[in-house]
Amino acid sequence: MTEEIQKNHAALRAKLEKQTREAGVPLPESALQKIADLTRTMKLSDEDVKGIVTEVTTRLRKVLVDPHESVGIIAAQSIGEPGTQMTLRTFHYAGVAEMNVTLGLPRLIEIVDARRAPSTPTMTVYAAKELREDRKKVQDIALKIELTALPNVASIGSMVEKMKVVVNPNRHLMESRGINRDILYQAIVEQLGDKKGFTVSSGSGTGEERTIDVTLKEDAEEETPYRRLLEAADELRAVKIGGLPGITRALIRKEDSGEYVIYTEGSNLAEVLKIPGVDRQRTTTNSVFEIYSVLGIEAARTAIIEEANRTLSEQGLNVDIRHIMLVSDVMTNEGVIQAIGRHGISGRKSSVLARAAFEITAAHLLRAAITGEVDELKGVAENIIVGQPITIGTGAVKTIYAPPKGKAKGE
Amino acid sequence: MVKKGGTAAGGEYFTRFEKARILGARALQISLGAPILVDAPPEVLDPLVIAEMEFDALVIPITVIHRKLGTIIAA
Repeated sequence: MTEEIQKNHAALRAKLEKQTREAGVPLPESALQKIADLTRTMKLSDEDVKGIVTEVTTRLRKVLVDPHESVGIIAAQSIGEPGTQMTLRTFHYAGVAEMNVTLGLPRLIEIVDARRAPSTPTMTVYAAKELREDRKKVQDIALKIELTALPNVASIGSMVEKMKVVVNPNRHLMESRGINRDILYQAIVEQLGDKKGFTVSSGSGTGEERTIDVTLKEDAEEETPYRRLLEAADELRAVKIGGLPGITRALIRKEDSGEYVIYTEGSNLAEVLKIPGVDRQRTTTNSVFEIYSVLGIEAARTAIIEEANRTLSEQGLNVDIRHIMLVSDVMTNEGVIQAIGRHGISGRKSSVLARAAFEITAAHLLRAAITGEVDELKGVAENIIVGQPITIGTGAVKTIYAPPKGKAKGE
Repeated sequence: MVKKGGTAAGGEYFTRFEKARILGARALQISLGAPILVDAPPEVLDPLVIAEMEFDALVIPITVIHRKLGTIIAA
């Protein structure tokens, strides 16, 4: 049954494709799909479909960009002008709950410069379908994500007169992070025990709040025992109990849709995606480089578009997404993320004259002369320098004589 | 935006850049004394206006070269 529908669908699609191709403007896949869906659900006649295709084709033709249009400059201006409005609100912090997220112009610059890590990395972690409306289960995921260090759940004090460092676990803090004293004890033993030359033992108190004492090994012959003790305190502060490296905070917020979403400070996409119960399709980070290394260049392209678009629209600026897509395409089309500007695209143009026109003119020309570089004069800057029409718009059109048709000689 | 225009080569679609280029080339010819291919009223003196009339009448013997897949095809 469904197979048959699919077959019919495919046939319809093929027919539509042929029709649109004949009309001269091939419609995008998504439009074809929509028309095919409509045809089936609304039971349209062949004539209706033909009418729709004609209408859609004419409209598409109207919005298509002409060949030789200087889309790059238009994109640059379309992003640049709203950018000037952003400067007034530089370093604007806002965001989810009490978290700080860089927004506005600094963020836009960060994206376009292809910085390896954003100044405020954050993640939005979604839970799998069955869990997302259960606060407790989402909380569990958040606990696995948030980095818990020893100072988060216990106080550390050094008692120099007794030559020991005392860890006082706090029951409430431990509970709120879903751990207990045993886990704490284990972590300290593992990360600070024999390996580093300390002895870990249980001290005074009872139950969950029983202290953990760290002393120097008895047989250790230390020249500077006091300093070693202070080192022990420092080491204790760095003991990691749970969570993922890089993520310092994880907050849960209930969205309007009723689901709980985790927002984090710090980002570690690779590890978060490994956690069971995380929705791998929707979970994301604002670190474009992380997306690139985990999910690849196409995902990075989408990430740049989304981040730039969000940064702009968050400030109430509407830039057509196609301008941003062009920027993203230019940044990613070589398979790695390249920055716009001196260290990125502009710095490695193939034309010497274009590079010389951009920056450090003499150095570029000198090097080109020494290495015998050839300039094909294909770009805009080169042609302006040598005084030729530029290869854009009218200047790019080449004409040829077209003999009149259907007219006999000497008519 | 693709405008349907015309030269002697037939009624293809030209981009606005192509139209401008053809009009310019033809207007130059007319200004240098080329025979006019359309019945222009005697009060019309501007070569560009005459070129436009010729363009609309599909009689300009100029077309553009399209580069497609590495080969040069006259549109």
